[in-house]
Amino acid sequence: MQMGFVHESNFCTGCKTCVIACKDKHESAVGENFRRVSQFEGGGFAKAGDAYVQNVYTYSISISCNHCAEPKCVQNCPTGAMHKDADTGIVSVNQDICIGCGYCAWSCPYGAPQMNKKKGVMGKCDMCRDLLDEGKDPACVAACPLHLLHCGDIEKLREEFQGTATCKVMPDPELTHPSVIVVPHKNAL
Amino acid sequence: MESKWNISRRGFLKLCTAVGGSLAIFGSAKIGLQKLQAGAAAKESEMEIIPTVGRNNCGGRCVIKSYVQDGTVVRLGTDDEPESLYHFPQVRACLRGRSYRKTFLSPDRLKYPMKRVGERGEGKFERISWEEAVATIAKETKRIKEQYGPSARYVQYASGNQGVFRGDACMRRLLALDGGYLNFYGSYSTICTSVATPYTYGVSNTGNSPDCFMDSKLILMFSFNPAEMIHGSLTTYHFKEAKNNGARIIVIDPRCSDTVTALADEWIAIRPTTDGAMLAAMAYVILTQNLLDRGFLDTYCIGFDRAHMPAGFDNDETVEEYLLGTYDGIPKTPEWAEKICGVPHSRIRQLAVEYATAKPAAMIQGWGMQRQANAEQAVRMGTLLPAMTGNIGMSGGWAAGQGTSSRHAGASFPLPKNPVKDTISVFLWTDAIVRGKQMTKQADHIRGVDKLSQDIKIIYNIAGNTLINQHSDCNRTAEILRDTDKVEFIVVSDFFMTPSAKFADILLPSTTMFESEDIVNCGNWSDYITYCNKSIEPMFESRPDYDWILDVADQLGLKTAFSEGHDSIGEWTPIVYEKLRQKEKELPPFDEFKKRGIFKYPIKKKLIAFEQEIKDPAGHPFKTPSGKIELFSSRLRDFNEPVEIPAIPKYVPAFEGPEDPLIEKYPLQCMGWHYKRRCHSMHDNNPWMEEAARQEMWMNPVDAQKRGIGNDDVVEVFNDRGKVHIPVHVTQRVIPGVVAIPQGAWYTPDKDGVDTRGNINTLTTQRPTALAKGNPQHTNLVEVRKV
Amino acid sequence: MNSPLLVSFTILSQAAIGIVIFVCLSSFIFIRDEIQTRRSGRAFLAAAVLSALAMALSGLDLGSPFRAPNAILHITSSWLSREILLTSLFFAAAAAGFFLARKGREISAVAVVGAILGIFCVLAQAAVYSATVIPAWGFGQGYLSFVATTLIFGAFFGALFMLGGKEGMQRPGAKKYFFVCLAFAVIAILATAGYYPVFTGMLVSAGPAGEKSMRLLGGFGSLLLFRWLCAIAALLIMGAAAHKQEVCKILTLGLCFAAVGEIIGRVVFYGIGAAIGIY
Repeated sequence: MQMGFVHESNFCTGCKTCVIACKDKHESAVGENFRRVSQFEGGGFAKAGDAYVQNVYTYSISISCNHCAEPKCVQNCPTGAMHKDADTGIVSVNQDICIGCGYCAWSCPYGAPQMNKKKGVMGKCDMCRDLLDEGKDPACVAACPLHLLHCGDIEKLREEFQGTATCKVMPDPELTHPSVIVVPHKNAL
Repeated sequence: MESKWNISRRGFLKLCTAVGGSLAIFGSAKIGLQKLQAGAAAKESEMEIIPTVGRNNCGGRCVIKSYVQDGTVVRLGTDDEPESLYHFPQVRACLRGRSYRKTFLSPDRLKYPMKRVGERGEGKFERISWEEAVATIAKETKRIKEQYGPSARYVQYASGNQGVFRGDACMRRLLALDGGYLNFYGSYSTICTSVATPYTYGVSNTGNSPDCFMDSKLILMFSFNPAEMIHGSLTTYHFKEAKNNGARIIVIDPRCSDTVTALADEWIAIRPTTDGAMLAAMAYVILTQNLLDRGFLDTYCIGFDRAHMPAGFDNDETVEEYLLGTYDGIPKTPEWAEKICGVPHSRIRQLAVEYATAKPAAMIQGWGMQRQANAEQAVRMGTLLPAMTGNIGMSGGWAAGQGTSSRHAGASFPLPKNPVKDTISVFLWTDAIVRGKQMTKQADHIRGVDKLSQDIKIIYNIAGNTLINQHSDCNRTAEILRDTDKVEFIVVSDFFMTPSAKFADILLPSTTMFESEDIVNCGNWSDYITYCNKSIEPMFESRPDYDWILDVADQLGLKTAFSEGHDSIGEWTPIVYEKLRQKEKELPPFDEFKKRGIFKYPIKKKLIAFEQEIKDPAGHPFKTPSGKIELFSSRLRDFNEPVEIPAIPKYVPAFEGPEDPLIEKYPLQCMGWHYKRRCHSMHDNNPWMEEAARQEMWMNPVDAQKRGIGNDDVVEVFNDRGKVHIPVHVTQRVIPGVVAIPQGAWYTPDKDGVDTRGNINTLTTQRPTALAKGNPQHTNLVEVRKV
Repeated sequence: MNSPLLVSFTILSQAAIGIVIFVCLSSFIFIRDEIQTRRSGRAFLAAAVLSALAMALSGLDLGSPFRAPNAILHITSSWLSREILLTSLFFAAAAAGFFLARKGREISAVAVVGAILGIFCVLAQAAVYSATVIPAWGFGQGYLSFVATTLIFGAFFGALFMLGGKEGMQRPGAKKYFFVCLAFAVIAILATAGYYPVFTGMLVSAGPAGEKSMRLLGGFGSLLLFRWLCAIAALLIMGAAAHKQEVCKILTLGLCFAAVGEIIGRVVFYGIGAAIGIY
C-alpha cells in the first residue's frame, strides 16, 4: 500500500491550522515546518473612470511530505536514515542515525525535510505514524477546520477525489512521483 | 485499539522522542516549571485527554483537548467526536486554538502579584503577596466608593475570557452587591450594528440559523470575513457546504480576504466607509428597474414610499424620494456610487439585478462596515435591501443588520441588579475619565441618567487589553491613564505583561483555560455548549479571577453574598448548569456533560428570523414602535440631527473617509482587519503565530510605487495622532488608496512615541460615531513613508 | 543555499585532488630521483593536509558532526556517501604518498592510485550536486566547474611544488611540465567561461527555480566580472612565469588570483542554488 495525502485546495482559506497542529504535535521550532501552506496571488487593478476594475486572484496550497513513490531524499540520504516504509510507503527519518547533513532538503521538490537545529538532525512528516497506529488521523488531517485534508491509501483516494499533482505551482510529478492529490483551486488551473 | 489503517508495527521507529527537559531557568516558583516542559513523549493512549475550550473572544468557541502527561500539557487536539454519531460537524479549532499551548504555557507568564513602583505605564513593578494585593484592592474599592460614590467605579470592557465565570462578570457581581458601578452598553465588536439594527427591526438578532444558507441561491458578504476572524467555529464550514450546494458567493471588501480565497466566486473591491453608497445604488437599481417586492414593502415596512409613511411625518423624506433624489437632486445611481466607492457602475447595476432576482438571496453585513465612522447608516442601508426584495423571514434569505441568532439559551452567572443607573457607550470610557461629569444623554447618548454623576476613578481591567491596546488612539489613552489624579487606581489581571498590564497599579497573574474550569457558551450561529475542564494546576502563583475577587468580597464583608457558599468556580458550574437545564431539557446530566466537554444540541428545526412576523403580521408585529420594519424611524427622527442621524437610511460621508478634505494631507485610508494569527491582541507574543502570519501592513503596488516602497520595507504610517513602524506586504489583495493593518498588535512605543509593533490603534481616533457613540476603528486617514 | 563551510570543503578537497593529479602527471615527466620524491612528498603532505582540513570543515556543516561516520552507510545509492568515502580514501592515498616519500620509497604508484581516486572523488562531488532538485547545479555545471577548479589548483600547486624554489626550472622536463600545467589551467578556465552562457541559457528555461537562480545570479553581477578578471590575471601571470628562472613568487601570486577567482565562482555556485518547489 502507498499512503498519501489529499488537499482540497479549492476551498482552502490558507489559515495554517494544519501547520500549527503539526508544529504542536511535533514541538517544531520556528522555521521548522513539516507542513507548509503557500499562498499565491496574481492579477491586478486598472483604473476605469472613477472606479477600479481588477482581476486579482488568490489561492493556497498545503503540502507536507508527499511520501513519493520514488523519493529522491531516500535515494540521496548518505546514512539510510531517510527511509521508505515497505508496508505503507511512508517516508520518514530515523533520527538515531541521521547526521543532519541536510542533503535530503536539497533532494526534495516539496521542501519536506526540515532541519531540527536543536537536535542536529532532520525531521519531516511521518504522517503521524504513531497516531495512524492508534487508528487516528494525522494531526493536520484532524485539524483542518474545513475538513480539506485527507490521508489514506492513495490509490483509493485517487478514485475518490478529482485532483492532480501538477496544478499551476506544483513541481513536475515525474521527479519523484508524489503520493498526493491536490484538488486545484479554480485560480490554479 | 485496532489500527484504522491496518499497519503493522514492524519497522516502526518511534520518531517523536521526548524533547529533553533542557529549559531555561526562570522565576522562582517551581510549580510552573514542569508544565513548560512540553513535547510528545508517550503514546497518546497513555496520556490523559482533558476537554477544554478555546474561550477567547473570536466569534467561535472551539473544543480544545489537552493531552496531559505528568501534570504537563504535551500536545493539543480538537473535537474528534465521530460526526456520524451526532450529525453535527466537529467543532474544530483554528490555528489560534491549536497554538494555545505555545501561547499560554510560556516562561513569559506573569508569575506573582505585583504592585507598581515606577510611574504608571512605565512597566516597573515589585513582587507582593496575594494578601497584600487583595487588601490593597479592597481598600481602594472602599475608598473610591466613599470619596466619589459607586459610579466612579468601572469594570472595563474585557473579552479575553468568555467563560461564564469570567473575571469581569465576577467583579461586576461584587460591585453590584457593594453599591454599584458605572455601566456600559455595546461592545467593541458590534456596538454600531447592535444600536442601529433595532431601529429597523426592533431587535438585533436578525440572523437565521446557518443551515438556512443551504437554501440560498446567492450570498453577498459585505465586509464579512468569517474565515480569518472566525465568526463562529462552524461558520466557514457552513458556507463551504452552501457553496457545494450551488450558492454563488460574492464578497464585497476592500481586502481580498482569505474568505474570498476560499469561498468567493467573485471579489468586489470597495473603498472603506462607502458600503452605504453602493447599497443605496443597488437599491436605486432595484427601484428603477422595478425589481422590488412592492407587496412585501407595503405589508411589512414603513417609510419606503409616501403611501407608507407613519402618521404625522407627511413632510419627511421617504426612502424612495431619497433614492430618486427628489429633495437633494442627486439620484443615487450606480454612476453616483462609483465615484464614491470605486466599484464600476456596471458591476453595481448588475449585482443589484442579480440580488433582486436570485431569491432567496442572503445579503450579509459583516461587522467590518459597522466599525466605520458612518457605521449606523451603512447598517441601516443594508437592512433596506432585503426589505425591498422580500428576503426576510425565509430560509436562504437574510434580513441583514447584526445577523446574530441562537437556537438555545446559554448558562449565566447571576448578576444582581446594579444600583447605579449611569451607563456610557463602551467606547466612551476615556471621555468618562476626562469629562465624565459633563457627559449627557443629549451629547454623548449616555443611558439611564441625563448626566453622569462622576468621573471614572477606579478601573478593574480583568482579562482584557482594551485598557489601551484595543481602544482607539493609544497615545492619548496612555496620556490619560498616566495621570494618577484622574484614574486613581487600576487593577489588571492577565497572563502577560501586556500593554494594558503596564498601566496597572496592582497587577495580578491569572489562570488560563488550562488551569481553571468553566462553562463556556457557544459562539455565533452554533448549537452547543462546552465545558472547560482544568488540565493542570495553576502555573506559578496564578489564580482564577473568581478566587481573588472572592477574597476581596471577604474583605468588603460580602463573602457569602458574593459566593452563596461556593468557594470556587468548580462549585458554581453545576449550579448554573442545572438552572440552564431547566430551560434546555435536552441537556444531559452535569457529570456527563463535563466529562464529554461539549453538548451538541440535535438540529431539529431551522431558525428563521422574523418567520412569525412575516407569516402572521397581525399576530406578530415587529418589536418596533410601529410594529413594522421601520425604514423610516420616528425614534431616529427624534434625535433631530437629520444630517448625521437621518430617519431613513442614507449614505453619509464618513469623517476621515474618502470625501473628507483631510485626504489632501493624509491620502490613504487605513483600515484594520481581524488577523488569523491573533484573537484581538491574544497570541501576539506567540512566535509560531508570528511565523504563520507576521504583523505587516498591506499596500497596493500602485501606492507603494508612488512612495518608492518595496515589499518587506519597513515604513512609517502616520497621522496627527501617532506614528507606526511596520513592514509592508506589497500586494494586489487590497484596493489602491487603502492600506490595511491587522488589529491587535501590542502597542510598543519607543522613546519617541513611535509604535514599533504596528498597532493600528496608534492611528485610530477617539471620536465616536454619531448614533451609537461607537468605535470607528477602521476609519482613518494616514500617509506612509519609507523609514 | 550558501554555505561557507561547503565552499571551503569543495575548494580545499578539489585543490588537494588537483595536487595529486599533477604529482601523478609529474611522475611521468620527471626522472624518478630523490628530488622528485622529496618534491612529491611535500605535495602529498599538502594534499593530505588540505583534504583533512576539508573533511573537518565539512563535518562542521553537519547537524550532528560526531555521527559523521554514518555518512558512508548508504553507499549503494547515495552519491554523498560515495563522495565521502572517496574523499576519505583519497586522503589515505595522499597520506600514504607522503609517508612513502619520506621514507624515500617509490611514489608513482600511489600517485596514480591517488589521482584516480581523486578524479572519481571530484566526479562524485559533482554527482552529489547534480542529483539534487536544484537546477542551477545541473546541466553539467557542477561537473565542469568542479573539474575545472581541480585542474586550476592542481596546475598552480603542481608547478609550485615541482618547479618552485632553487633550480626547479632547471630540472630536466621542467619546461614540458610547466606547459602541461599552463595548458590545463588555460583549458579549464576557457571551458568554464565558454560554457557559462550555455549554462545560463538552459537555466533561464528551467522553470521557476531556474528563473529564481537567474534572479540570484543577477545579484552577483560585478562579483562575477571580478571572478573572470581574476582567472584571466592568474593565467597571464602563469604565462609570464614561463621564462623565469625562479617561479615561486610569481606562481604564488598567480595561485592567489586563481584561488580568489575559484572561491568567488564557488560562492556564486552555491549562492544561485534554488530548489524546485512550490512557486
